[in-house]
Amino acid sequence: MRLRTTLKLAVVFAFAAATMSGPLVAVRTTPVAAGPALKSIGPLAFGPAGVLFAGDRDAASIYALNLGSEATGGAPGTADVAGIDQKIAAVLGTAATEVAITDLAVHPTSKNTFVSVMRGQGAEAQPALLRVDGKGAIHVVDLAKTTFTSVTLPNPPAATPGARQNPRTQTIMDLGFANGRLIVAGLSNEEFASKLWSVPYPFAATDRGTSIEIFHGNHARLETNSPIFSFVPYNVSGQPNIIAGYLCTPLVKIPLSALKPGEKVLGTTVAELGAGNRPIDMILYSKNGQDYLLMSNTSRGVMKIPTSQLATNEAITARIGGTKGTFETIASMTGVEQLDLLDTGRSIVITLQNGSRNLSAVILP
Amino acid sequence: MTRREVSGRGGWKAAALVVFLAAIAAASCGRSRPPAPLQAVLVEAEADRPALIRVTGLSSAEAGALSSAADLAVWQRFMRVMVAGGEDIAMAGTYRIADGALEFEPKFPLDRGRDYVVRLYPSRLPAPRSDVAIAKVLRRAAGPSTAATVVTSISPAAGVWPENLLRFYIHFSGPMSRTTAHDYVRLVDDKGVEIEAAFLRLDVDLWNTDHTRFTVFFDPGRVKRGIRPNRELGRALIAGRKYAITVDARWADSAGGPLGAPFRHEFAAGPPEDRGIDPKRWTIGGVTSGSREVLVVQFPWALDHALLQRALGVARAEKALDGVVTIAGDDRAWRFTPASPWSAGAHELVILTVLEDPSGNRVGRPFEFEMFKAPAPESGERVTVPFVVR
Repeated sequence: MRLRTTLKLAVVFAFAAATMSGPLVAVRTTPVAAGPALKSIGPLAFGPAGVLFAGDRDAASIYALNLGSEATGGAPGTADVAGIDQKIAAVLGTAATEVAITDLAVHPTSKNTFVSVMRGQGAEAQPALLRVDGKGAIHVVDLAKTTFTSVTLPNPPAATPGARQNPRTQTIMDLGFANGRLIVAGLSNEEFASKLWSVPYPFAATDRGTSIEIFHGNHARLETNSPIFSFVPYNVSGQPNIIAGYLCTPLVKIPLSALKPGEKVLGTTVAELGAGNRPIDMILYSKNGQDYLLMSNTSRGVMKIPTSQLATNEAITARIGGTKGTFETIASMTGVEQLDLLDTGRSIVITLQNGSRNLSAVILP
Repeated sequence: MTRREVSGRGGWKAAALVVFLAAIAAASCGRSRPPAPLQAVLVEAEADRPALIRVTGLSSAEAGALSSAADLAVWQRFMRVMVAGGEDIAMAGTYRIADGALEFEPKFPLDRGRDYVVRLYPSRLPAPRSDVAIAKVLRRAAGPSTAATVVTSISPAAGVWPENLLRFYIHFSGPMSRTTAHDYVRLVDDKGVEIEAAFLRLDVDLWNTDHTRFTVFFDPGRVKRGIRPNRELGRALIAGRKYAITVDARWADSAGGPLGAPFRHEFAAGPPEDRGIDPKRWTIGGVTSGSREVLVVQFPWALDHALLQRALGVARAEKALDGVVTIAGDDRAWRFTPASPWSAGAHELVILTVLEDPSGNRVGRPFEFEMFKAPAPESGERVTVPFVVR
């Protein structure tokens, strides 16, 4: 393992808040007992009282699932499962090639791991949510037994009424819950805009998407509209922030209080973690009295990032070459496709090794 | 009808109890004739239910014993359905007794053309039979063949793309599968050599709702000048050179079949387009009041094909006019046919500030610009350009 300590730096970035007309977020506030009609299932995140937020990318919606009896029933914990993709495929009655694992999240009390999956590749592809327990048993969550509320991210209005069907979609990159608000990072299939939504939970009132721009220290120009790939909520100097990972790979802190449409805010980049890369997942953990981020990446492995630097960096005034900030690359963690915190001492990962995907607990570095 | 749903493991104590009770029942009743042979068949889907697997040959006592079993393990010990060649794990689904037969309805529809193994263990019936275990392979017939899907067009359609192009769209004749494009869409040079790492690989695929249009982003790290991937690798496109976008015919459509043909769009790379969109430089054609003449707006360079269809409109007295929009001239012209005849007087061309050109330049602001010399971004949702209908 290599420890790199480089100059502290910071980046100024601005939020240009889009002002949109009409209802901004469609909301279902009354729990519905028949189960959600998910079109797809992608990012997962647990919220208060064990509610599971599940992103439906096809419908640009987020469901808050009350799992009820489906949250329990398994042995506590999560056992390692070799060939998790093949075993999930078997339970779902198909081949591993027909299964796409889209995310995982650990239940806060049972420590069972919930895995979101798309089953099938064609028009009949279906979402599935599975629970892996402490004995490695794989249970298909019966969504019909869950109750839910939901929000839908809107498409912006078209300028011409009656224009032909709008083919724009708004996909969901990541979800997180902090300070009573669900935070959603989105990306459109048309304009290269990064939207960040902050929605109070329970879903009673709505909020507007904030368009984000960052100043990327790696190239000293405005990074317009770059999408957030992964983020975690974190308190910096007592103030709630989200820590966001971008393409190529600035790590940026954004004060939650700044997510107000119509205002410009300043944020700070705390590290430049390297080009030719994008973040996959991020988790927070504590070890020996220090807080760390653990971030998996497409081409730069898994990084351990001390959070102490989040509070101290200064605004950038010049281009940065290479990487900046303090981080350590964890050489023992390779092929990580999914990552979450299992308990105080371990992460849970799905890795791709020799064509097979394995679910395993890994001691936090 | 009794239903038991399974998706994992079950306990065995209840199973043993039911076996015991059923054995007593069978012994007390006696058997007057040998039981019918057990047979598993696949029953195709009907309007009100999916395809399922039905086991016949159970006696009424056997069916009744299964029906009364509270524990799923009783059902699953007798009958397991698995994917042929896969893990030895029972599929999730629901067991029930219907019309004297045992039915297994999978939680997810059985794939067409895939082999499933049904294993029956007569010795594990609540009243055990002495028959050996039965294994039967069942398969749903492949679906009706449909016309192969093809690529119908690509946007921009022009023969010259700016070297800093950020995004293009691939249009299909029918819905495609969820298979990611990464392995099927390539940028090649005029010698057919692939330009590596040209495109942004996302975890998510950017389809439209019906999976007939796919959005591909060039890696913005290579597009933007000065950023490290750009310094190390340069832009994927270099002005003056010739390229092609190729789409591999092996990319599966929603029916699982390959494309009807591979697709190739040849183009030359031109100079970068790094200007912000300036509606004042557009040409707004004249239309006559009382007519439904086509309003034509022409741009100095091509704008984004998709965004043009929703980001431009016409308003009169702040009320949007209904009409039909078409895009022409390789995305350099926007044509609006009003639903009602034009009225004389002041009108506005409405431009939503989400409008971009294919290089990501927006209204009043290029995709990249110096940090502290940035022009003020358009903070509103829309800008307008007045014109008069006479």
